[in-house]
Amino acid sequence: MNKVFQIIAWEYMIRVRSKIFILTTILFPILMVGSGFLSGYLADKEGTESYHIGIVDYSGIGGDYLDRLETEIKLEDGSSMFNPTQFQQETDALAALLDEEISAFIVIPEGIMLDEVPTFYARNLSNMKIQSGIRGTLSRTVVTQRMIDENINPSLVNELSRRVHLDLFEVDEDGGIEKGDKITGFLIPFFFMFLLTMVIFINGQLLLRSVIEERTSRMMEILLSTVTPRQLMAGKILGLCLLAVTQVTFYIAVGAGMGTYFELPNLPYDTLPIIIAFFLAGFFFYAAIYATMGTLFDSEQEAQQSMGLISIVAMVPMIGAIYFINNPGAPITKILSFIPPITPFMMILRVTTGEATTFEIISTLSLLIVCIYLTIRLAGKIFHTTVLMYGKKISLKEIWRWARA
Amino acid sequence: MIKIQNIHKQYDKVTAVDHVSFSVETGDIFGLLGPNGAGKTTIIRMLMSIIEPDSGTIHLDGTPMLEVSRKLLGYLPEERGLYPNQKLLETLMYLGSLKGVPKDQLKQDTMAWLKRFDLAQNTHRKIQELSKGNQQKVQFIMALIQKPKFVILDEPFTGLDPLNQLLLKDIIEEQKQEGVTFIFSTHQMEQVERLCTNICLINRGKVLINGSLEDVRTKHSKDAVEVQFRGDLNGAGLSDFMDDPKVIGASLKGVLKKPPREFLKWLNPKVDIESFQIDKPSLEQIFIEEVRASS
Repeated sequence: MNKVFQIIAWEYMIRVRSKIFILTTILFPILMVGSGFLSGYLADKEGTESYHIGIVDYSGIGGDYLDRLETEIKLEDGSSMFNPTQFQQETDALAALLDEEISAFIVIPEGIMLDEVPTFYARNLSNMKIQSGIRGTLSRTVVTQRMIDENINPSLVNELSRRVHLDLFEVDEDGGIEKGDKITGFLIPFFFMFLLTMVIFINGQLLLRSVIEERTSRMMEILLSTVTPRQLMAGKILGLCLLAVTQVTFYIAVGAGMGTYFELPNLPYDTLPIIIAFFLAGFFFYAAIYATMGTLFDSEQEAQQSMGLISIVAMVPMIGAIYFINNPGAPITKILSFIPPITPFMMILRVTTGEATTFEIISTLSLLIVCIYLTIRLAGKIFHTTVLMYGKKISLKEIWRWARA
Repeated sequence: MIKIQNIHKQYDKVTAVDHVSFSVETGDIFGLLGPNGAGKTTIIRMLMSIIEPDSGTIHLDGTPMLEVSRKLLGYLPEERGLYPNQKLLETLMYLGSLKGVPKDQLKQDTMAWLKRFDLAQNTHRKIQELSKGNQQKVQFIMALIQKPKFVILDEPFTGLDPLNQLLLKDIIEEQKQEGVTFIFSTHQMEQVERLCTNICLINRGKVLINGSLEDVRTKHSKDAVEVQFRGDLNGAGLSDFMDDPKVIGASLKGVLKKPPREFLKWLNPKVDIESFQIDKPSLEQIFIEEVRASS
């Protein structure tokens, strides 16, 4: 056991102080927060830009439409987002577009009130903000005109069409009621699921690289003359696990700090121990697979190719995150909670959304522990057999035979 | 004493080690020889308990090898490795602590070894910054850091300059004096002749020769003799005692057909014998001859 601790300490120390670990650990939240700020900044910036727009009207609603374009959509400084100009002919508008006097122009057909489709022209169609502004304003102009034609008071319709809002409350198992919001419901489960995915991939890669390096540098032979393969594998996995815990603690601390600063929802401290249990179980499960994969290949590139399938399985919860978070009690979400490679992700999601029952938590955690035991046992057998095999391509048939041995 | 009894190891359809037995006396420097792919590495890995034999036993002083503390075993594998990005002293301290050496003693011993190998000024340098020869010395230190009782050295002199080879040889001799047992595997037969007292030659997983180096050479001498003499030897009657006798000046060479005693009895009255020497073949010659014959 003492040797396992020494391997844990070594694996932890050499990695925790490595520049790459420090950089990725610190840079990741900075990049995440930075990209959030950047998109916010760009979104703000978008709200400061105005556009010259051309209108070619054959219907007679052009004047009203032009007024609405000038007045309905405002920039942050209160000025109009659109500066519309009316053209008599499409050819005039086209010339202005080519001379870059306008960013786009719209042609309103004579029969627009009878559902004849207007046409929109621009040098490129990627600016959705212009399109949605022009389309929305035109729709409102046409709808208003239709109401007037039918002797309906548009102001009254607007007044009567105001939306209904909901106050959201979350009720826990004991009947406790807490005011919540849509963001809380999404952000917390997503944060933890994303964290698990990221920590598995970052540390799994480190583990894979570490085993491959020790094999290719032939350090493995010296180590195995001192410790057993089982001790070595246990030490490596636990060392990397400690590293992952360090990383997660740092991220949670940063997340909690940011949450307080930006007045984001609090972390679910009451369910945190259960989340950590699933987190560690998930990490062990994948770490055993990564360590074994390291013994099967002589280069990281070869190993990466074969890790693709495992990565896809681990990515399933992330890919379906929006559905699973919105439907934590749906049958498919429940079924996936009992598929071991996906269990930790799904259960973290369901625990944080408050949808997991005590029975489900205990049963999935037990299932996961059994699977971890079997995976580590199987991985140990393969690790023991393949760790000193160099330059030999190992077939699935051979792996199956060793697993059964 | 290390006792290897009838060990056998099979990989799929390939027999790597085929019922091999030999013993190594305590304090001996024992040469384990064989061509590439003979099964030496498999035997060494079984000796170090890295892999287990399918059948047969290995004992160190009566204790099954699997139960022997790893602290007692030192190993310098042929395929040597180090952590290139880690610092020298830290790496040695880690491996020493894995072998169970107490921290204080470990630091003291490590520094003593580093001084002896003229590496003390490099303790905080990364291993990849050291020359190949110096890395080789670090690996040698790793094998001896825990003061083992039994050490396996697989090609220990590869990559070392003659001065460092001499230093290594001195250290091996010193350790031998202190009762450390060495198994020494190499292709450099002249090193075996200089260091080893007993050898085992294997090929295709089987033992070809096992015994003291002196006995092996005597057994393979084939009675080739060289005689230096004074007087006239006209060669008459020589062919009754020798095959292909050659007399050049005061020297006679040939392969005896009869026992040396009888030959000397016949020769003595004819000339004054100044020297009589039975030529023993070199280990390299024996190696080539035996391996060719068995292949």
